[in-house]
Amino acid sequence: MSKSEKKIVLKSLDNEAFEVEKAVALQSQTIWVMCEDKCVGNEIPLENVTGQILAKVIDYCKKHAVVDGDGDESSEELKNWDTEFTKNMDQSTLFNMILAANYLNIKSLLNLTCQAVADKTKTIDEFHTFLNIENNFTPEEEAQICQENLWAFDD
Amino acid sequence: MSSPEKKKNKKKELLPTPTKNPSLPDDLLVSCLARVSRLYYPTLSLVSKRFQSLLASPELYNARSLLGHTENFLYVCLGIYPCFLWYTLRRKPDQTLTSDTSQVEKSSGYILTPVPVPHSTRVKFSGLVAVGSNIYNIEEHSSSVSILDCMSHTWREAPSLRVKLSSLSASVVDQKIYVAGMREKDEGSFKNSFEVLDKKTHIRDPEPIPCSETKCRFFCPKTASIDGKFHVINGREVDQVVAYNAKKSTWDVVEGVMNRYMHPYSTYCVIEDILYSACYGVFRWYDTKLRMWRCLKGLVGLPKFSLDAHVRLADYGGKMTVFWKDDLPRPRSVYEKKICCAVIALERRNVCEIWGKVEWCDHVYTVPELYDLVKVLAVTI
Repeated sequence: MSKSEKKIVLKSLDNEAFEVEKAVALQSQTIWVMCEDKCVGNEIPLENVTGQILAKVIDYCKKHAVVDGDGDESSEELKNWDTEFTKNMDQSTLFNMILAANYLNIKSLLNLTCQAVADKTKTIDEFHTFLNIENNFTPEEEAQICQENLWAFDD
Repeated sequence: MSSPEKKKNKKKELLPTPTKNPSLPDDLLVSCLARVSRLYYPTLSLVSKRFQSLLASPELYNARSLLGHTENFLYVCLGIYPCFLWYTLRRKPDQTLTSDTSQVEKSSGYILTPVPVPHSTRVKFSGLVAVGSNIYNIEEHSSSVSILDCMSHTWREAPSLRVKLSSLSASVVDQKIYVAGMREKDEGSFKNSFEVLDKKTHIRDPEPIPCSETKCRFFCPKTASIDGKFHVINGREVDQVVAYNAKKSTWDVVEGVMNRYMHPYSTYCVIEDILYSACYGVFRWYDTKLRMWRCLKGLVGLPKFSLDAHVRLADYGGKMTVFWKDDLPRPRSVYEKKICCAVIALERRNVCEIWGKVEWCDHVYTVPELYDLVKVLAVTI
């Protein structure tokens, strides 16, 4: 295999190009299928992912392509790396990461980011702000639900 | 790298999904919610109507089970004939329970909360069993079987027993419900009866399984699933303990003294093939390999029980949970009692010693004095 065949170019929605090792990119089932089908050249357009998010996805894939399959110690290290990776992500980045992981079909990244949302959101307000969801209950409906679940709202 | 705002402006008309405040489609939201403890679901149902319907959706429970993110929940049946109510043990979501068990927390944050289901009229300790996320109620003096679905909190009818039993006890072996009891053959004459309900197929065994030849009368029996066998213990010293071996379709006599602390005033549960009994305030365990009863050691932090204490035990994911009724401190009403709960981690230190470490112990509910503590069941949701 020549050097150029080992590399692949991923192009984001906003036309940012990333040259990465094929082994790194092929962790995405979507990219893998595209390459298999030979429907694209060496440059793969990813129409749902911005450059900012794609850069983070590639970081993740690089880390996991290198360490996967090694001993216990590195899997522990990988876990810590994963935790750090999502720890300080703001809501919009995290959501875009979930959407990207879903679109690119990278299962482990989807698991990681969904878990991060689950870990970061535990209260109603967090969900309202974090998930950008409007409370569409009437005050009466809200009172009714509170009544049914009194225990959860008591002090 | 350029800032996201800049990119957004640059490509504004071409950005279908990755906006500044993106929202997730239902399937991805379900994937996130499945990773949140079910403890938070009542709170989260207040987020929005969409959330409320997602939290009750079968897709969410499917996702939880696919992820292996199922949790154990304790359901408690309390009441007085003909009105038995259902409760579940919850921890208030805002509380953080210290895992440091060296000091038993004064307030654990655990409370019993009513489950919004219609009350049951006829329930007995021996006729209630939990299989996965369902609680089965097999009624005496009728052949009726009903199922409480603990995901949707609704009751439904299941195929009834083949015959009406005047006393019975049920246990779960290998996801199937085994029921032993007595049926009235002719007026005043009773015969042992035994049947198996398969919860997957809802099909009963096609032929009656012979049991009348056993050396044990299935009269007010206690039953337990130990070592993959269905044990019937009637608590009377004169009767033998028998166990049904489903692989060989045989009833075997269980030698030893298993029935010693299993008389009518005792209560029991099985945890990891060890039979535990609380009898006149003393906790003991029985191992079918040792064939002897031993006292459970440790239990520091658990109060002394009176001889007539009303106690219930349950397997709570390998730990033992103890519920009991106790007096309220004065000057509270004498017509009310408190329901207390303790969770005990079990450790087998050697062949003959099991130690119980009280993780927490707390007053979790208050009931009218005459309320019966029927049964505590652990369901997996």
